[in-house]
Amino acid sequence: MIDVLLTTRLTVSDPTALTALSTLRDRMGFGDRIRGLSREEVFLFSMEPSTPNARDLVEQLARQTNLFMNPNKHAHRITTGEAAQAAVPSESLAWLLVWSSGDGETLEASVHRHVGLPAVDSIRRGWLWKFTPAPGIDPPALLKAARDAAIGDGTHRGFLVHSAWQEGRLYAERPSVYDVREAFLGAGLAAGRRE
Amino acid sequence: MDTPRIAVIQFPGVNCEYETLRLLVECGFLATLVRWNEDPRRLPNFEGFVLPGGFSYQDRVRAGAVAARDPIVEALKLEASQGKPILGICNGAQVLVEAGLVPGPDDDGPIVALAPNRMPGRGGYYCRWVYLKVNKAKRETAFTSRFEEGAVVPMPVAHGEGRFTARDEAIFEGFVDTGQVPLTYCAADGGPAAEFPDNPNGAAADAAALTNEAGNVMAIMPHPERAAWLRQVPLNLAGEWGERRQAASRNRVELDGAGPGRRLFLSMHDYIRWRRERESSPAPSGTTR
Repeated sequence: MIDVLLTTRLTVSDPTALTALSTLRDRMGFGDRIRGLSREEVFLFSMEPSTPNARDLVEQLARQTNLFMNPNKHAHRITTGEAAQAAVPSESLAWLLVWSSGDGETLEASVHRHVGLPAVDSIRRGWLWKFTPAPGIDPPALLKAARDAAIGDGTHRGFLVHSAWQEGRLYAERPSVYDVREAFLGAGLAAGRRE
Repeated sequence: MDTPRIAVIQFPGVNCEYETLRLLVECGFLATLVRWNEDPRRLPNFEGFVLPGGFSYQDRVRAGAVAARDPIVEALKLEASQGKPILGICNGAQVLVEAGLVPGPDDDGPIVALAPNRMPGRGGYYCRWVYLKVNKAKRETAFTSRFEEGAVVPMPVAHGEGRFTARDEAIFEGFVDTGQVPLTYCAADGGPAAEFPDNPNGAAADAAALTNEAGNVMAIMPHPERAAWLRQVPLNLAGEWGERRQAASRNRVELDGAGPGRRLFLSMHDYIRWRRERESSPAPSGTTR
């Protein structure tokens, strides 16, 4: 299979990320550790190996259907396995990938039914949260804060990842297409950069 | 006897608070709207609480996830521990589940969720009238005393995240065994909910409502307040209530009569009065309460 990762983010302010951040800071006590929070929507396309120009096909799907993004308010980026292997930008942030089994199946059905693209074998969907540290917080401390914010304990448990139906995985760097594939499909590919 | 005092908690983004208030008044409560940012020390003045439907905090992160972290919910937990009835309808149910008030605290983290609907070939928001079966043979709750065991009660559902689910199936089977699932989706004739749309969201054990262990806190996804007057029942609804609605057409008095969902609130009224009587009567010697 050829894996192509489409990530979209709002170019206008994201009220969900802002509300999540204010909840973390004002009600859950993370103000001294987490300064910023943003999120992207992640779509992993698995395509037939014989698909020519898989990346272009995903670009076309993103731009010409309204299934994945609205070009008027979203920016997007497309990553293939090769590109991710070659160069992954390193940032001192914490990344949290959240998904649940079955996310993306409806999109997959829509692509097959309405767009008619049998080359797309499967689509999986999730959310990627990006944590920015407060001043003086080093990367390990930020990762711990992100873990606590995601899973938590006591009354604040499971704020960003509800363990009864969601799954989450933390990364010290932006996850590559391989990381996302391993998370979504459990394919066991060597990722190596997971926390 | 004083009229039972009940509070409707208004989180930002809910949209069913006023019809809920109106119904509670109709059922004999002294009902008051309490905003999420009011002093939580007001809550002990009330004998019961309703968290109405809507979209608190615009369903950001997950439905109910942000409201569940509001300080007033911590105060509600204290009220619940004293045995006061708390009913969460739709978004209110999502808040109760996110807060762990239903099914109750668990040291291993959240065990139950109201996850996105699972429907054949589609996802997202779904609304229609559905049928609920009353299952109270194993225990009575604060919300079911006015219903008969096995009664079929139609109500509308309107939600995108209403699928009761748990970390594993056995958890919900356990809730059924302990009588914590007092209302389940069913067919119009009361038979099992074979598939969608009888079970409109893929809920485990066909659960439409779930209570805490004590039975005084209930999260219900369908809207009983939208089925509280006979005139709210659709004319073409199959079953006894649809027939009643057709027979009452053009008869304003009958149309203003009780609909199928009202008994849930009347049960809550009875429960509050029962609590009062229990608390005002001295315990027999040699017993504890």
